[in-house]
Amino acid sequence: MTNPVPLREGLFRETAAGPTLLASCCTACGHTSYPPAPRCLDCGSEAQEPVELGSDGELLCATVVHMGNHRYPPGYTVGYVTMPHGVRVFAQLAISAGEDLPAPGTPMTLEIVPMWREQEQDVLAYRFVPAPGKESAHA
Amino acid sequence: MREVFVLGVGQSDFGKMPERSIADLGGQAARAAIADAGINSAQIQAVFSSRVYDAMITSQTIMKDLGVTRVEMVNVENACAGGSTAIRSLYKDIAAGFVDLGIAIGVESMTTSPIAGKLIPPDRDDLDGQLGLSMPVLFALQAQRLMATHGATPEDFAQVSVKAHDFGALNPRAQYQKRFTVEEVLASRMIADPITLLQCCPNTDGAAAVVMASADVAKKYAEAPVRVAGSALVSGDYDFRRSDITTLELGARAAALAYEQAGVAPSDVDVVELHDAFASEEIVHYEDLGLCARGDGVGLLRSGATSLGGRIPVNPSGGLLSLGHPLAASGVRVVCDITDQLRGRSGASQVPGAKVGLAQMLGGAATGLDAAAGSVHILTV
Repeated sequence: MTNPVPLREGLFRETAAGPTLLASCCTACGHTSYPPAPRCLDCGSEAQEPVELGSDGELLCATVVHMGNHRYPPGYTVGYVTMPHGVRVFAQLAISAGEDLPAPGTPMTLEIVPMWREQEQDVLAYRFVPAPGKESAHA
Repeated sequence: MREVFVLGVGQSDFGKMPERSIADLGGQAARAAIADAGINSAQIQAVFSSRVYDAMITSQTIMKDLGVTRVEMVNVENACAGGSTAIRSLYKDIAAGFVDLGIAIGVESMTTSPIAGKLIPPDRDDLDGQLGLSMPVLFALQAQRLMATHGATPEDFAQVSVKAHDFGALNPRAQYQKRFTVEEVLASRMIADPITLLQCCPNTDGAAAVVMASADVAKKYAEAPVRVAGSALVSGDYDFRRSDITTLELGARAAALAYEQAGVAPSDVDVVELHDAFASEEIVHYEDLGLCARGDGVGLLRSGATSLGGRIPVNPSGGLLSLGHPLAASGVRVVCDITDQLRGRSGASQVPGAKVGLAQMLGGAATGLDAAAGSVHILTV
């Protein structure tokens, strides 16, 4: 069995504290970029330091997609999740078909899972799982 | 900068016509525009064409059948705003004095494109696209936010489609000349909550063309040609710069530039044609174009102001929802329809006494941007 490959390098990783998205924070203006940028997308400074966004976010909005594509069968759920530093992330949500869409503001937690197979390898990416009991880290 | 005028407009049939080639569709629109302008095709000094799918030398492919060779021909792509980009490019060349007379063409064969029958995806390597984003998904998420922040309901979104089809039923060029009720729109197949099938523009083949000219040339062919009073094309900005997804900031920015150039206010506009690929987005465009105050888009729709006979009819052509959306053609087609309105040639959907019209088109999605391209043209008589 071959090792799974990440969708892209440098977007996410598993840590002892759980999965995290990897971003960059500008030491000149404080803007946080996800995906991480070599140069600040806001002020242009090259003074960027890596920052982990962690795994906790808050749902902004969600929808169920009823038409599939070559990777995803119909009935998958997606949404925008607001992460620490105010970063808005698009991702799939782990919601079963028929389950109600989680309400805006629902705490969400990141997981790294195989999303599809390509050339006989699992491709790893991230999605969010509702975590209603969890306090959102998003201020 | 010189003044620029629309001399003639033309459209092909709109519909599912996989047997018809790009040269055939584009040629039908170009011939109609040239005939409408009353010029001879040999007078054309420049050709700008736009096509999204499988595009290569679109201008030359079309114009070689019309006896037009040797002149400068440019082929542009800017997603759904590609047709607007062709118009904008020709406008600039005439305004700058490079040419006096030219044609802009938008053409698309959606039924033979690689995305026929699919939800339109972003570029193959786009991150959000790989994670499951497509155009209806983008607008469904925006619609979800409109429900949370604006008090919009699924019935409101359905009403946009009902309005479009009320207009489309009056337009012999519409792919679907058929009215629907709110209940029928809501009962159609769900695509991405809350967007149902009848709130999505159909996959359509078609073309549109506009002949434009400098003042010296225009006055020889028309007594009161339609003037391009404002022309703007902008690219999108970073998504992080907008506080919420209920605005497409690039559309507001393009509108502000076009209003300023034309010296008109949103309240001066008599008729609007805009990108309604998905019904819910029309409410966002009302606000971005300044047709109402920020936050009042739903109220403007419910007031009936944008319907037939209202204060500011929006998409009296029937819009993308009933005409269909041959991607690169639509940005040219909206200029054709506004020109017809200002010339009083719009038949049953004519806005009485229309003097100022606005043609908007937006296009493209890419991770990190609010959208890719936004264009607004303001025409006056």
